[in-house]
Amino acid sequence: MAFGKKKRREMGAISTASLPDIVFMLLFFFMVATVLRTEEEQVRVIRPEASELYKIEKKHLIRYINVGYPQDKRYGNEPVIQLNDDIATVESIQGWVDAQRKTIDEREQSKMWVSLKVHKDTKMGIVTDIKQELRKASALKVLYSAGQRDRTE
Amino acid sequence: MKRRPLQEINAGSMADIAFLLLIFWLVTTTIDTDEGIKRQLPPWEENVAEQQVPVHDRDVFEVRVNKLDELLVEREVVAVEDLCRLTREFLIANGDGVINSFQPEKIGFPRRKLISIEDANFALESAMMTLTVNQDVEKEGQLKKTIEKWEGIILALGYIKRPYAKLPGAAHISVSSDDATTYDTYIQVQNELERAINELRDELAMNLFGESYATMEETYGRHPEDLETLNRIYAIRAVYPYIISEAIETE
Repeated sequence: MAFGKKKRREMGAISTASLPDIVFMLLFFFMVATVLRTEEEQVRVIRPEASELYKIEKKHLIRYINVGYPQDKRYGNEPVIQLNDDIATVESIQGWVDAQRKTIDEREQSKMWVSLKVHKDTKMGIVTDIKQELRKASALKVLYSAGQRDRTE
Repeated sequence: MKRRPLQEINAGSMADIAFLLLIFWLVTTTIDTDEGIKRQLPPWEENVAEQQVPVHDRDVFEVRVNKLDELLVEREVVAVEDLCRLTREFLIANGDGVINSFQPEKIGFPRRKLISIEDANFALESAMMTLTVNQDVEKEGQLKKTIEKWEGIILALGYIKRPYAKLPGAAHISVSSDDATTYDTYIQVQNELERAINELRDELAMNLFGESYATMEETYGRHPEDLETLNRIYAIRAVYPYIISEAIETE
């Protein structure tokens, strides 16, 4: 028997009938896995970048405070605070924290995180004021939201 | 009436339609990730001035960012690039007794104290003895805290397997900023401080347990029932506690 004498079979065409199914499956996977942005962005935020990041696994425990330049110029050109969907004042943070805490399951209320999404060009004055209000409202777990970068040498 | 033969619908374009939908979805949604530098704020106190306990100057690593975004460490201007190194120096100036040999004589840095298992056992026992004869309610809480502290240290010593040099409880890194400081600069400073502690913890963990501290925390995050890893984490934290404090006083 010689090895080279194999009979050459003709390749059958691969059926593409299941292709739509596969693609639909992918589509559904992405639809389920992605979270739609629920809040409207009233402020423009470019986060600073850092290397020592902590990732919060339990997303349902995070509440966001955005601080950045308002999209709507009627609010001026300086960074403002956005709570939920509205531009807010520093004084309203305490009430907001209390309201947000009630939306979390009672057993996990003490584990609430407040994520500060602050534009990198913001001045610290406004951030310090927010921190003070958070302390008054006993929301002490804070995350300074940042993008990932490598450690500098 | 004459019936027309049923024509088969061509399903070939179905895949294209599905692809279009998929790509549309991919482009419009953002996978919301939230990462950042975590911090624990100090609880709110009305009369701050009254409750301040005097802390020795050598126990404080003072980091200040002024309104011109200049960094002042212990009142001297330094570059952000040097901050990590300086922070490390503050933490290990007198050695940790485990991977950096213990040297008790460096001036201007917190005095680490070498603790052996015998010392810890003795301290725990004496605290327990005091608790049994204690009548004062106020003091009882304090004593219980002391006992808890020493139990933690004994546990850590069991994992480190040799005496380690303990940082004084008052030692801390104090970060403060001016109202006109840029947020980005502030975050970079916080990041470097965090990095110094993370690096030291990683080095110690590699030396003691052969894996990095970050990996250990990840493992524990995935398996909260893994007490072995948790105890190891506590042992690392005993040597390098998290001592960054959010000083909020502004001038």
